[in-house]
Amino acid sequence: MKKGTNKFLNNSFTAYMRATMASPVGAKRSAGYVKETLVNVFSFMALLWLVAAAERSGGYAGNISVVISASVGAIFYANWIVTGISRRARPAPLGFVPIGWKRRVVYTYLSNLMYTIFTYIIMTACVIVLILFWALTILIISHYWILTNWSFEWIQFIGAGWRTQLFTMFTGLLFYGVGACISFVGNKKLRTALTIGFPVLMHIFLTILRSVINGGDYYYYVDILDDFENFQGNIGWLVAVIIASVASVALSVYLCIRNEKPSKI
Amino acid sequence: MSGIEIENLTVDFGNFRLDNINLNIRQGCITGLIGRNGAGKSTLIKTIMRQQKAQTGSILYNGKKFADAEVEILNSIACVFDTPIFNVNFKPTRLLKLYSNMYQKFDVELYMKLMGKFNLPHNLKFSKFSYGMQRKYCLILALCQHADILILDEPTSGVDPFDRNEVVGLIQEYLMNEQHTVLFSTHITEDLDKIADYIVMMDGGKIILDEEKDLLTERYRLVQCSVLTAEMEACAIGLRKNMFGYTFLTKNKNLSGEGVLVKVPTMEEIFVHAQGNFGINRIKQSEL
Repeated sequence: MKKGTNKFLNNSFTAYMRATMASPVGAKRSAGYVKETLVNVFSFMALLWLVAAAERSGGYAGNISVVISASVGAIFYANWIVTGISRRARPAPLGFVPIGWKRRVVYTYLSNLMYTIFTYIIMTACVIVLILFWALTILIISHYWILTNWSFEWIQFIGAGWRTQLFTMFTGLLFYGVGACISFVGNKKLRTALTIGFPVLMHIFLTILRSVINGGDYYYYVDILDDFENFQGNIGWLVAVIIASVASVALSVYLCIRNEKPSKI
Repeated sequence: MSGIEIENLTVDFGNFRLDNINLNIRQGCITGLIGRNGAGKSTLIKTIMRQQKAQTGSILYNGKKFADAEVEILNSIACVFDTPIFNVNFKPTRLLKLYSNMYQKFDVELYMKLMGKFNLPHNLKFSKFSYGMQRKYCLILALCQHADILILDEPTSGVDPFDRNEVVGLIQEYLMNEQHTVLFSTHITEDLDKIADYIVMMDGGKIILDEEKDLLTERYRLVQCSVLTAEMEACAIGLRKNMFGYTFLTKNKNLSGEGVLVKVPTMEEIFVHAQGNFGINRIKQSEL
């Protein structure tokens, strides 16, 4: 009788890779997970845009907006990681492989993290394509409809008055709306409502606030890539992201331990 | 006692509850688990396999607690779930590599033999298998682990009668080693007639029957009659009326008369008549 060798137990990397690749969860739940990630990426990108707008507005309103936006961004960032990990739980075969629960925690975490990062890369690429498409659309619309001053360098849009307000609202809601529509297909209404509802309200509130304080006139940039560079100088933003990262990793590991540690039953 | 011992197990989902389950799945025996859809059979199996957390109670695997001997228990238990636990886009060649590396006692020779016996392809994605082929393949993977405890959730559903016979034979062969334990959940009660030693019946998250199969068939008789007498009604269990008359289970073996047919019931007949009628909910004639 030829017995199977026990390489799985002796080779951590092989074990982790095999468990990940053999996971039915990745294959079965990927549709829901992709939707969830898409919502978070959309929301995250929208927040970058929101912070950029708030920074441009200046004054007390701008500072408050930056702090609030950075905090919300941090929540999203944590939500994205934790959601990915908690939804996916553990690659199924790993639950039956004869290894101790501590090793299973490590493999589960690595497996989930790899899957999350992989999905994020794919989704981010999709979002960039969408943004380019969206930017091109705006460029064409602005040229024929609400153009007041624009250049070909990117889509630097400078406007004022009700049309700008409408434009701001429309583009902001576009991000959230697309994310929400996709997410609702996944039947996770409560989660989506919590994830999407808060920043939507925040976005509307900040838009109105900026409008009131600045008398309805302010500069508005939709150049996301250019504005992103400005965040590097924002300590509050970085600190928030670092805290959120540490918190989300800690929470993820805790969830893995809670799942894997055998109960006394 | 070895095998699987479950004591006071409670699993609560809110809308469904496995309520205070006490069960011995005896070593060296095949225990058949039957019940209607939603009775809690799969939940019980998932809880035994640690895929579902229990609120209270204890489960002993060959006399050991999972927390005390996790690796040993995982090495000694194999399960065929209602859905496969691996990536369905894998081909058997890849799954063989995976399983032979994961399980210390995985028998590659037996695997090859069974693949040939059931005429299963090596180079076709699992997802492209027919449902019956998938069930057979999952069973092959479980049997080749040479585990001490084998848990099967609907292993023969969707399998054609010829192969079902083969599958049942394999399970019997597996139990030639008296150290082995089998828990077999199925709706195909005919299989239980062939191989089960004990029958466990579940309903609404509770165990309503746990008896040796031979005792069960010995204890009860199925009665078919055109006229229901008071004596019959008094001892009837699961009384049913149809266009030809009445059928019911009874412990009374002395029933006789014109137009009365008394026979040893099959598991299906016991299942149909016993469901919800052991001790409680006896159907009165006035309700018919």
